[in-house]
Amino acid sequence: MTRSQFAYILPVLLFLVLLYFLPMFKIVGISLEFPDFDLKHYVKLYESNAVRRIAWTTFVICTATTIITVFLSYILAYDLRFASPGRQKFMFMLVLLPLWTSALIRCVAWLILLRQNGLVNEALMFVGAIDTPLELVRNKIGVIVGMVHFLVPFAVLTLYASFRDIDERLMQASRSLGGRRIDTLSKVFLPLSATGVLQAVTLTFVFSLGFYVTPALLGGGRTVMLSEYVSVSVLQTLRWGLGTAICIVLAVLCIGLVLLSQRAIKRWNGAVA
Amino acid sequence: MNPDFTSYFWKTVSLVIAFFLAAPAIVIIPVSLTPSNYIEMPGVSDFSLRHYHELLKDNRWTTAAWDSLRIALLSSFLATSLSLVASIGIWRSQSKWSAAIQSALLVPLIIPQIATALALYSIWVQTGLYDTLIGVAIAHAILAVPFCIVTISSSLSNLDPRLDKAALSLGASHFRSMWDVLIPSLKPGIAAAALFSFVLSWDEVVVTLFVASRSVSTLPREIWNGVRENLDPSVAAVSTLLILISICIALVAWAKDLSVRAKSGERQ
Repeated sequence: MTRSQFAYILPVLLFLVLLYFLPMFKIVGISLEFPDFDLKHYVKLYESNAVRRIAWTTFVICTATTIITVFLSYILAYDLRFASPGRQKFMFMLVLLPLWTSALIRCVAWLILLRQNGLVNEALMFVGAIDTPLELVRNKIGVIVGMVHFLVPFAVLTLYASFRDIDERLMQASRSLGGRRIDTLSKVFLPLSATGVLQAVTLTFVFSLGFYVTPALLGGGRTVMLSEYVSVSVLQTLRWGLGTAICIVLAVLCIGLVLLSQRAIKRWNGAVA
Repeated sequence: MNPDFTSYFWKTVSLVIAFFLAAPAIVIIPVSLTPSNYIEMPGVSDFSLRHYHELLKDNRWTTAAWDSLRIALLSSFLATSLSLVASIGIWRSQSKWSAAIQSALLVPLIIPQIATALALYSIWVQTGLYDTLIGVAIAHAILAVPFCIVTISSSLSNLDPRLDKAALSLGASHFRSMWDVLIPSLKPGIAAAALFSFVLSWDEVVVTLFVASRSVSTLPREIWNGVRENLDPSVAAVSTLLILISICIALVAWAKDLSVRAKSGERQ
């Protein structure tokens, strides 16, 4: 790299190093009681019942969200891959529409739909399917609905990109050799889409670990995830050490998962080729 | 089972999922048109714009809109210009180092936003950026830089490096070649990056909650407060306006075939 090429990269490097990476190191320092090297906040994370409970809730919600999101996205992306151009355009519009509306506004809309006297409950009672309103928000259900809704478009785009690389002739070959639809799907298409699925799973899970807005609004203070707990620790109880320690653990977890999945994909591709 | 039946079944399922995705945006619009003081579906004939009138009269919302607009423009300009110059530098050098730098620049994508929010909060308070327009704009630009770099880099990868080399060998400076040769060919990518970072800032709430307090209020922040206090139709009306603005931007991008590019650039 020549000096003039580096001069072009320098501004953004300075910008991010001074205003992003340095602050990040600062919160690592806070969590370790810099200049000491004290792991007491991390030990507290492990010992505290409250943190354990919230970490478990977070894990359960993220796992459920990931499974549902990837399942729904697979169906959509498969349909998009083989749809006629007209249908494809229409479906893409529906998929991309939420991407352009903010997480916050989508939560507002879900609150309107799902609360006790919300539209879903009123519609169900009007039809006579239920007598008393269902509890759809301020619990895990609400949070999962909101998170799945947020993440499906991302997962669809990821899966669709990988499905596009699958050679259609392989499926035609399977069918012309007498394979049933279900065989073609499970023995040809599914294995070929494995790396795409792994990417989508990683993306969804890593994104969902850090969710803040959706759990805070749709969980209504009763279903609390780690991000919201961090915000409460820092802003309300001023426990910076605890809050930053949770952040660092989350960040390390996210980076680790991404690296792990990249390595797995590389190995899988190597094994196939 | 009849193969036609199964294929119709799955196609219907996927259509239902697609509508599930669009549902919130579709529902919130009629709700904002209710004449009542509470959130409910208006009857077929009694749509009313009263909540929109109230928005325009309410200082809280108009100030927030003006702040949001200035912050989004500033942050979009900052993120796009920094990323443009950096992407060109990375593209020109093609070395091991530049690949490493590029992946380092993408780290903010993976780190949970709450960590970013805490980190910025702790420094912003010390440097006097806390609770200022510029401070919020810089925070949003930090979030936008990785997306802009991905978008502009993918546009650069379609460009013939010999164009740049020809300009340089004919005596143009690095800057001149960037300005007169590269930037004109990168317009769609740059526009996508600028639009995307604008929308990101316009919608951002998590980091904003941490780096601003009284003197800067953005629309998402006011919506956040509104939802937590009591959900009234004015929140639905602001949300509808924000959705419509985002959709307009998306349509402009769509017309220029940028939308998919910007959004698929979102992941590495």
